[in-house]
Amino acid sequence: MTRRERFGLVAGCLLGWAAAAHGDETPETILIRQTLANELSGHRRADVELVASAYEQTFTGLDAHGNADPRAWTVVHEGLARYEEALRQDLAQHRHETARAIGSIHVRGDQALVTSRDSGQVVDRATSLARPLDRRCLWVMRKTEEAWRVALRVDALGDTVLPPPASAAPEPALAQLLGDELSGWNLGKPAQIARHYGERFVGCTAGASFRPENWIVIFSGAEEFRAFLDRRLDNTSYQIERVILSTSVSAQGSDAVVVARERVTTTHAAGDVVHRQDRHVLWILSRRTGAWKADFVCFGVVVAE
Amino acid sequence: MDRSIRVALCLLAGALAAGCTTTDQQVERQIERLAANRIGSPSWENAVDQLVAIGRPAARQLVAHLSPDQYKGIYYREYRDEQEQIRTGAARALGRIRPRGAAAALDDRISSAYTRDERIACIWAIGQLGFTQEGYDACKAQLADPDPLIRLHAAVAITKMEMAEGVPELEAALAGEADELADIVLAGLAESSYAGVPLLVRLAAADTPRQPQLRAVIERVTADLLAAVEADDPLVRRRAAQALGQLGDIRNRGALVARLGDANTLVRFNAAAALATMGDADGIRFLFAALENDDPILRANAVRYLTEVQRHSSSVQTQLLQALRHDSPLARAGSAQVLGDAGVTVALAELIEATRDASPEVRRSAAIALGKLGSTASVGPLQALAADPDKTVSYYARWALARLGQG
Repeated sequence: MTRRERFGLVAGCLLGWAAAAHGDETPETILIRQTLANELSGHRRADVELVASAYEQTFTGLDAHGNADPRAWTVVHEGLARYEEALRQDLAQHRHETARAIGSIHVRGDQALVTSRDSGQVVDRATSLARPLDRRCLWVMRKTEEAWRVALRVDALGDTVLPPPASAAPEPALAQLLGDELSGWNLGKPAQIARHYGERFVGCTAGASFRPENWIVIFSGAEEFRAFLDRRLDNTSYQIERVILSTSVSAQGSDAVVVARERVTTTHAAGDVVHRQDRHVLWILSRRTGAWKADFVCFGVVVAE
Repeated sequence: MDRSIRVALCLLAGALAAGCTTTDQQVERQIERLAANRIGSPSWENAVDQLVAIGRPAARQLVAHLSPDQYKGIYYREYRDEQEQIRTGAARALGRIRPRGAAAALDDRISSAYTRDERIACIWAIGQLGFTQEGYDACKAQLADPDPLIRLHAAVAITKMEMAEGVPELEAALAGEADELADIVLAGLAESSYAGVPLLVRLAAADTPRQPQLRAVIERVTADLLAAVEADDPLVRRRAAQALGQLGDIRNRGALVARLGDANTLVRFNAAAALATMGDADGIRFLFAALENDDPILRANAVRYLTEVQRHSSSVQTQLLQALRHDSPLARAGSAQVLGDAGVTVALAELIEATRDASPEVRRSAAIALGKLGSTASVGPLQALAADPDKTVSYYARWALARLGQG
């Protein structure tokens, strides 16, 4: 047996053991847990490199400010390099004595939606003052070269919807993107819609639940989304009325959070039923490659009255 | 080749190329029609019919469309109503195509997480598939549902599986004032073929309401059974023949007599038993002929079916008593066995007489029959038989005495 084969056998045994330990685990969920365990270990050991190894270079970090209404969410980390800077300062100042419980893991293809709850305390190294921690997070993870890494993290999720802060008028480029995307739907042009989505876009449905544990990944990547659009718009016609409720653009202007209210009407080529729904849609976008692209979209999110 | 013919051939080839699609595409087209039309509308019903016409090749895709996991990615549909139209249509089509493998997928869709239309369609389809342990368990659990429609459809499905737990729910609906509920029961029984016949016969014989409707259902079921008695599947033929006997309508005699020549042994016996139950001479003759046959399997079947006939109708009692004096010891032994198994107490004297038969097989059968009848009048003859020179006869005489408390 070669060294490579021995490694494969041991890895297989370990995955099998882990799968047996967690009822409905798969090799992918085990690897995801491993990434998030490493991320936590990095915090506990103040090892910036170990934490950073869990993240993609294009990572986006959001703060939900304890509010389940995504209109309150803001971008706090634009890319891994900036996050590492903030992390280095944080770990120099604080000791993290925390544990992590994984709530849910929904895998679709090479992308996953994960929720977690961290508890314990964060201790100020200078004063030894301890601050209790109870933090719920949403993670969007992607698999690249057999490793799962964090693409998006929303910290401090709330478990209730609270009134959001007032929102400024949407940035013209964002408004233009959403208007063009809307036209694509209303004109039945899949290409016009799809061009506004990033290659590794994640699409979810919240099912009118503000708890991300109940959110389901429905699209994994732009290719799958485009195939859906081609098929769907071949059989149906959409009329969408969209009102942008809030936009929040990051400090450097590279990431944005948009929440829109939509009235969607769908007619079918093969019959006379008209389907309608009112929904709120969360968009998380970035423009690291130039134009704004949607990285994450969640249909049916809950907002405060 | 003439130019006009070439043009015509080209057009035909083009038309064929455009018209020829894979089965998957045909199914997808009908799924889109389900999604695009209201449940129960003519177009929606037509889409279900088209899927049924495709048949088993459509089953895999239909099963997939029952699951919520189907409505993701390329097949994402954001409207719950749309999913309901498809899921309900898929279940209706599966119930008519009847692929056994669909049972598990249907079982998973009848919980209260689904809409009433979806649940009813899936429960109906489970009933159409016939008995599976999982389907039966799933439907039985629905008998406790707060929705009376769900309970009733579950009761119908269970009845189609030839189980009895749904009967009280069906009887209550038929006795109630709600025509809507009674119509569900009547439609369910009409679809139940042989599985619903015992209940139909009982309801028609009792003083229950809605007798005209029940008679109409019996007429429809009878027509189905007359077709089923000629089905390819011998199990279907057998059950249909049995059910025709339970209905006891002499107008069905011709179809049953024709089955006396069936290639399948059990179909022949069921047809004969059905005829004998109605007192028909051809059926009785068939069973008694089998009773004296050299083939032990045919004799065993004759005993079994004559016992059933005697229990249900007593129509062969005279012939059984006569058979105790038949020339053939096989016929005498067989009739003694039937008289004991069917509990014909008036045969006591003849069976006691049979304990003195020259044939040890007849004496043995008489001893067993007397043991089963349990009359103290047979103690003396059985004690005498306990000393029989044939060891088997003496063994069963002692066995019978033990049953009579004389062991």
